[in-house]
Amino acid sequence: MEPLLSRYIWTNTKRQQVWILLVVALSMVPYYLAFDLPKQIVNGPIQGDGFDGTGTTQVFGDITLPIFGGIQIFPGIPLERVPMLVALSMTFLGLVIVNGLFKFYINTYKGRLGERLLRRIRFGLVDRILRFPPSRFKSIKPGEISSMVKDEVEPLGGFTGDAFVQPALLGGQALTALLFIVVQNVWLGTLTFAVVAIQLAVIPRMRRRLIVLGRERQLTARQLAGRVSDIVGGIDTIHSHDTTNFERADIVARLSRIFRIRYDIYRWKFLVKFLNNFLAQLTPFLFYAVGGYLTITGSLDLGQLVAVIGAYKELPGPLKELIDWDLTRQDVQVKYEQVREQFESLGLIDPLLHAPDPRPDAPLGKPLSVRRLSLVDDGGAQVLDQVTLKFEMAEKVALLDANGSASGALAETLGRIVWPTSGTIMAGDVDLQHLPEALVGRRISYVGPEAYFFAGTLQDNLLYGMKNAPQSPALYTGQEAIDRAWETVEAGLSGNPAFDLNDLWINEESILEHTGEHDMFGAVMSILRLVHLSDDVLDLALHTHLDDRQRETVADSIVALREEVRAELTGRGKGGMVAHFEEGSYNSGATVGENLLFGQLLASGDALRQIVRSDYFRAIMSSDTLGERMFEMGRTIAGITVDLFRDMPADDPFFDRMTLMQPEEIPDYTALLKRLEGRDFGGAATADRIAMMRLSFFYNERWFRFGILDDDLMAQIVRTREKFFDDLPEGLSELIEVYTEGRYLQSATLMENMLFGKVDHGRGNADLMVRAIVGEVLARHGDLCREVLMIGLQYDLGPGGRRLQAVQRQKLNVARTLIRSSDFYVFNQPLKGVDERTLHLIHQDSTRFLSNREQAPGIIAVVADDTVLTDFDRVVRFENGRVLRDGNSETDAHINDSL
Amino acid sequence: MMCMNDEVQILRSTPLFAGMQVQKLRMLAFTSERKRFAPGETIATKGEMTDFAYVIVCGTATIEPDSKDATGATPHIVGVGDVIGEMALLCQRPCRADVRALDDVEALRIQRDCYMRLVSECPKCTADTIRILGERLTHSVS
Repeated sequence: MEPLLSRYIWTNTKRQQVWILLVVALSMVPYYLAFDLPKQIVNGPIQGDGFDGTGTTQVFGDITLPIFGGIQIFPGIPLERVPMLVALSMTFLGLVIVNGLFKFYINTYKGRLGERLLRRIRFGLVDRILRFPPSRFKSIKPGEISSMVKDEVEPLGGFTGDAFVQPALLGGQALTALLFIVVQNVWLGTLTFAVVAIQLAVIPRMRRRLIVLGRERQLTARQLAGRVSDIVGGIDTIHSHDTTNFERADIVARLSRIFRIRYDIYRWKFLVKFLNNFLAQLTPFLFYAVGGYLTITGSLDLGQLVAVIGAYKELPGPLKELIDWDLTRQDVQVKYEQVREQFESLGLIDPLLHAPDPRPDAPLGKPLSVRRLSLVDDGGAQVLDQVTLKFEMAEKVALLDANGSASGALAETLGRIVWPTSGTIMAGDVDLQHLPEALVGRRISYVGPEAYFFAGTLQDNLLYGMKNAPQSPALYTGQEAIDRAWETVEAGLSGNPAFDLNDLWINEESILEHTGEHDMFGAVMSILRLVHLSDDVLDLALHTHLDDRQRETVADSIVALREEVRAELTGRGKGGMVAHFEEGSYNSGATVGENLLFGQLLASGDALRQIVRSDYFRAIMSSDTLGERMFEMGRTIAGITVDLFRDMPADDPFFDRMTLMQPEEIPDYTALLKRLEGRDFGGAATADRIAMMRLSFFYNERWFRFGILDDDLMAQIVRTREKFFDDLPEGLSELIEVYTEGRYLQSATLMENMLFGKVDHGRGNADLMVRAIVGEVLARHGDLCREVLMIGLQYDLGPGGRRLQAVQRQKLNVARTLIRSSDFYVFNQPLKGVDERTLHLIHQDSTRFLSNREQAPGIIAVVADDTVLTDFDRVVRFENGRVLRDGNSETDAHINDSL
Repeated sequence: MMCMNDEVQILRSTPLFAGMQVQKLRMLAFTSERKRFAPGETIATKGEMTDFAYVIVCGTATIEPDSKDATGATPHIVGVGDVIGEMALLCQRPCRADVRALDDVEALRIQRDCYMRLVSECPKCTADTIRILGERLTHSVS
């Protein structure tokens, strides 16, 4: 990257900068003319110079170029005094408009210029991140670097437009004004010039000291904060050593230093301000004194003096802005240097290696071989030591460590996760490092133990590895086509590539060919089946709350299936595992609130509060003893929960398992319990009563087992439920979605909708069994099953795939490798959390799948121990970074046994 | 009906948890689920990876002998206070045997991460756990 920001700006925007400079220069002409006009108006038509008698005329609008002794372009029109005034005033108005338009154009142009450069810098930085060598990532903090791309370069863009134009424009304006004054009167001009020179020389220098002081202030304040937290942290040490007064002294010293700096800043700031103002006001003083004298003595006419003073008014503004500009320049240069420091790196990947490959089917040289490969890790340990190996297509190789971690390291270098310290990896007779990533990345698929997923759906992430290059462009029509054309042009002007995210990036044909399926859904599911993830897809779908669009497609069919699911469950003797929603009975799978309302709340958040606070609800609650009992229930719940969680920090993971309260509510409930001590329902304030009753809404005896909900109370809740719906006001009824047979419940999951009830989680393996039965029923309805699975594929994985379990993530990681069609697959223990049996099955299935391809790929897998070696043709054993033994798996097993 | 306090009493009588303070045991019970199994129902399957263990709070279960060396080995019966799959609480290991409910069983499903967090917060618990493991090791070696 360029070391100097101004040079970077100039290299990337010189043509535009020159253009805008020309425009600025051109804008000076009407600007200068607008200065001269007031003098002409005052001296001419107003004071009557040259209009001595009635009927005298003056020439208006004579345009004569001052070259070759004057070439007259337009002879002008002779006008009388009043028409002359009108004509001159109109000209003045015209010039004001022209000047304004110039300013408008210049500002817009500058803004656009800045935005383009900002876009260029941002893209350039991210591009660099994508091209950093792997080792660079060990020394950068993701948060720091992303905030640099986001925030710190922002002022750079703002400065771009001003980088050359601002000094030119402001300098031009100041010079014009100065020149004008000089032309009017050499003496006044010289005086003004001298004052301006002092201002320009002194003020920026004084301001620079302010920047230094400001930085110092920030630093000392940060240190003070550090010291204070130090004191708090070490308070025991301080007390036991009796050093409180020493700490006081330390703080006093620091505060004194901060005070000195801050006071210095104030003094400087106001001194600079004073000086600047003084110098700006000094000139008018000179004009009044000297100019006035000259006018009185007659060597300067009054119009000239007015014009000079008018021109001078235009001077301090540009000057101040020029000084500010210089300050900004220094500031952004420093910022630019910091950004540059972070983004400079040795061994950046050549951009040519990242270019989309024009020949996606280009073959990779065979075999894949490593020659004298060595790798030294950050700790200085020799992980790989002069390893030379060859891997053929269709070969199944196990890498195994007797001692050390060479096999994993070799897999990582093959996957280009790390770069070797020395030695080469060759594809045929070409060094892998010189091959484009488009070729290597596609022909060698690597999967390691760490799976990273990007925010998006399950399917997006599964197909992530297929998004190598745009396959077919998105088609646009009408306004969209115009917008897209604009985007392309703008991208080019900012040095961004013209990729379109809306293009089809996935080569569907190659996936279909690779998997032997007829459509994408089939292909995706077949791969997920290989890694035993297809059941999970159904699971994810079943636990989804459908959105409007999804409901439209499946809701009716799901509701229609309820009968069948219920019959199947009962038929298999698993009817007891589901608690159905039944009007006359208490549902032990649901909460007290859901039972009371016989339904679920539609809008989350405030709905419950609205219901509990309503007069209607309170009247129902106090009409029998239920209110009192729920109040007591709430009190017990609060008591137990507060007791358990009182001393926990708010970010403790245990809070994730608690659905009754938010961490920040703990103090409120503590206070509430204290307030209610010795008071019963009757004695409690209304707000407190409501709070306790509300808490009991979340309670479920099966989950929490506080032993406070007995059969009698359940029966009472069911009785009150009927009363509750008798006369429910409309405002409340629209908050509740009542369980209704024959209707899809949008507040419930797909599973709950199929069951029209809740799975009884208290029954041992109810989850699994009910899921299995529901799955079987669904399988009988092919189309619906497909729709449901598609919903599962659209499951949003959340940031980093966090909404999947670790094992699911690992499986998905393998799946997204298997779906790619490559020549070599490198498996670096990607399924560490998966149990042995499943691991074995996945391994067998996926190996069979890969080996059945027309051109069987090479499989290179790191294995943890001897147990799975029979699945491989060849075993390479490492010891201390060297190859200990390399042979076919049978002889290996033989040798190993005899050892 | 059995409630959380009864569960805590049972946990206290179990060697693995006996060293923990009551407050911690309450948290352990709070974060655990209670599961019911009908007679004959499978509680754990051999070879399965789980991240939880069961503490029986009611009923009895059998640990089926390993079919490979089933030379006359009788099934091992476990009851209230016994832990099924306690290894899962300490490390990632597949379950070693099939476990089946003999009569109506209720068991507390304790999650590894909760247990680990509670133990690691209290040095005494950690020391106790290590001691118990050590004793078992000596026992199985001799």
